[in-house]
Amino acid sequence: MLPLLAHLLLAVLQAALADEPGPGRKGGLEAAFERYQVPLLTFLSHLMNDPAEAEDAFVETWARIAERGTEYEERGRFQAFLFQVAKREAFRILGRRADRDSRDALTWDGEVPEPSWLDATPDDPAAEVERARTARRLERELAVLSPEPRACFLLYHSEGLTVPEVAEATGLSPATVKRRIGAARRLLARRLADLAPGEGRDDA
Amino acid sequence: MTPDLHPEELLGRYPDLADDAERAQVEAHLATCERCRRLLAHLERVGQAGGDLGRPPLTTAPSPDLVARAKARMARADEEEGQVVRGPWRRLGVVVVPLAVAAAAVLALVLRPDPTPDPDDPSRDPGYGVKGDDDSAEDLSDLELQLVLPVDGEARLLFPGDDVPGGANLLLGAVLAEGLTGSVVLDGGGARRVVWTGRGNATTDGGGALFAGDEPVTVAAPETGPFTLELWLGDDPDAPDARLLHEFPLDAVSK
Repeated sequence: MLPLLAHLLLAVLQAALADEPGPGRKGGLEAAFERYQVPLLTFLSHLMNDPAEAEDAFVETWARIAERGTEYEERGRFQAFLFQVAKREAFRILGRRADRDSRDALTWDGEVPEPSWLDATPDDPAAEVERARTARRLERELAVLSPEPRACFLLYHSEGLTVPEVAEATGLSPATVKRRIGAARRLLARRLADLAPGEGRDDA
Repeated sequence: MTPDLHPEELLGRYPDLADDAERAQVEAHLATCERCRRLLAHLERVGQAGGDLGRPPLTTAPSPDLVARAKARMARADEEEGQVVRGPWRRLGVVVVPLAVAAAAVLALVLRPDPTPDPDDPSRDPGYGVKGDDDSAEDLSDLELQLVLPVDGEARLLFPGDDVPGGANLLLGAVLAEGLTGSVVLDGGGARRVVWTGRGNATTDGGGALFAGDEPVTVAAPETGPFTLELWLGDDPDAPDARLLHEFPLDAVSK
């Protein structure tokens, strides 16, 4: 018991005596807002599939960050921390949505607005058009994933977080994150099987 | 790394999420399988499309109104937080509060009751039904596939990513709203099959074991390798309008 107690108290004292955010706190927060506002809203929009709810989660995420201060000023750590807070806020709102009307949540059609830019690229190379078509379809099919695998897939692929950073942001183990991303890829590949030349739905 | 697993199962993790042994297994298979080479190319395209979602023009920039709303909320949150603790009291609080928590934790360790459950206690959790997943109580409102693994007459809840003995008999439970039709698919061990189809009898804050007639639904895990149980809305998971509600990845390990 005594060694455990000593370790516990040492850890607590080290944490307590760590530097507080300095006078540059507000500047740091503003810089973080400028740097991450677009990635954050993009992530929340894809995760929640409802623009109004994504905006609510966006606002509440930054409020939580302001409350906590810029504790995580290194880029990688702050990014994982930011998405951890964002995921929590998004899931809280999604949970309220399910509580409010579970039937609606279950039959939520997953429709997203058609990006108009896709129709305005007739002169682009065929490969770019094909790539854009795949991304548009993927954006729709994300709705088939439940929120947690969707968050793992988006954080890893769209936001470029590493597996340990996704694990930190989602509260899952790295091994579980890898399984979730792998399963999400395979499921999405099945859903997009018609875009794979020579492949049928069952092949993926 | 799991032996005897068809490399196709590993393609979703190849190459960036696979370990060295898995990569070698996949590469040896790809050298002889044209179909898997095509599938891998498709999977890479899906990953690339995932990356495209984070780049213009598929990104979402906040409107000036939303930026103003967020900044006003941040200022208010910062102000409210500042009113709670200021100046030297703040640093004092940073030290005192964790110490108090640590002291409480030590007391709790010392004074904790005997954790051994009474098997005859009627209020004892039977091990199935609704429990939080690996995140928080908020997840109770989400749709979850919950499982029970009977072990030596006892049952314990499994969590996504858990290992289970190969061939273990798993009792399936789910939170599926009353009146809705759902199905469960087992994907793994080189096959994909529907293991249950029926109607839910639970609300989103309550659930329980799935039944086929009067019998609880059980399914045998594959002998080895990762597998996934999927809960689908609708009685045909391959129907165009079927919706995947929840995935539950597990890993069967040799006994």
